[in-house]
Order: sequence, then structure tokens, then C-alpha cells
Amino acid sequence: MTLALLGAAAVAAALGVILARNPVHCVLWLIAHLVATAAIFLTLNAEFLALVEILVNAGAVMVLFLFVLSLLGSSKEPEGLLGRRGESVGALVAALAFVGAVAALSGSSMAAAAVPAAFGSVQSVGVALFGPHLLPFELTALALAVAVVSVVTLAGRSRQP
Amino acid sequence: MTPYVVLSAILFAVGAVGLLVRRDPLVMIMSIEIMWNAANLLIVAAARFYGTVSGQALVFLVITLAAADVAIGLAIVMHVARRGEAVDVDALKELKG
Repeated sequence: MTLALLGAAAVAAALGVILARNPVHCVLWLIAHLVATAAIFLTLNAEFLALVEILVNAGAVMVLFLFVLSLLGSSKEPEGLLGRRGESVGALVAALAFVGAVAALSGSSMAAAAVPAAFGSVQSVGVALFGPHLLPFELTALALAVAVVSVVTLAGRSRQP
Repeated sequence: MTPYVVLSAILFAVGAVGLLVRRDPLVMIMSIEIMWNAANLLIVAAARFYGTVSGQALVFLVITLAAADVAIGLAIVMHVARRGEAVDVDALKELKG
């Protein structure tokens, strides 16, 4: 029941993102979607990830979106969701992807494994992150450094002709 | 686990529709964010149902990479906008600065 309510909220907010005409409204709908997703994470014993989802995604990344929107000036799309020729193709592709994903994955009706009480806590995720998954973690730091350098290059070069 | 799979597939399809139909690049990046989240939800559900915490460590890394992805996408949008062109993906034909 909890999952049904939270899932309905997440889907409704996602629909709000792709249906809203004003990009600022899209950002606000996306924040609602991320909060609903964080709540769903809580039902899956992922307390740490729920906090990260709100702090990083709903906080920092959405503020980044709003900064860019305020720098560009908000402009409404003239036609929104309607009036583009590719929309029927897009809906068809998405429907096929949905049916395929459900058909491929929902056959496994497995029950939830028994987990210890500390499953998903900061300590258990940290032990997994800095123990067996240390190399991917370090590579993520490298990817972030590359991203920062590329962003600075892109944003700083445009002053010159 | 089936409800989580169906919910994740629905969210991924909604994000895919947004990516294919909208033409404002900012909204397209937001649609990609919805798709990242659908994948994250599936990984977290799998981690819970298999009883291993490695999936949650993976999702932490995915969230980090999604933030990097958004930062680069927004930098490209800023770059295009500063050249004085309309921010419309249908009107853009090249990325050359």
C-alpha cells in the first residue's frame, strides 16, 4: 500500500516533468519526483541512499538546473508536448521498452531476502564502498575530475570568438 | 520484487518519452535524470531482495556519475546559449565551438 501511494506520486511527478510547459515547473516537478523516489528507497532499507538522493540530486543538482535556467531566462516551449512529428514514434518506442522490460524482468517472483537490521546504514554501505568496491569508487573520483575540467573548459572558452 | 520492476519500467518509459518528445535541452536532461532514477530504483530493489549491500554502493557511484553527466550537459547548453543561438535541439546541427 505504501509502495502504491509512493509509486503513484513518483509517476505523477515524472509525468509533470515531461508535460509542464514552463522549465521552472519541470524542475519543481522533478524535485517532487526525487523526494518520492527517496521515500521508495526508504521502503527498501536504503536509508543512506535516500539521504544522498535528497541532498545530492534534489538539492545540489536541482539548484544547478535553476541557476542555468535563471541565467538563460525561462522560455516556454511554443508547442510543448504536442505538435512534433516524432511524438508517435517516441511513444511507440517507450511502450515497447516498457513491455519488454516488464516481460524480461517480472518473471522472477522472488521473495525478499532476510537482511540484518543495519542493512543500508551509512556504516554498511561505507564498508562495502571502501572495501571490495574501492577501485570503482576511486575511478568515480577520476570521472568527476574529468567532468569538472570539461565544464570549466566549455564555460570559459565561449568568451573568445 | 515485481511491483518495483513494474514501477521502474514505468518511470523509465516516462523518461524515454520525455527525451524523445521534448525539444528544450534542459527538459531533455531532466528526462535523462528520470531514467537514471528508474535504473537506480531497480538496482536498490535488487540489492534488497538479494540481501547484499553491494548494490547500494553501486547506486551511490551511479548518482555521482549522473551528477557529472548533468553538469556537462548544462555546460553545453550554456555554451550554445552564449553563442546567441536559440536553445532548440532541432535547430542545432553541430557542436563545434
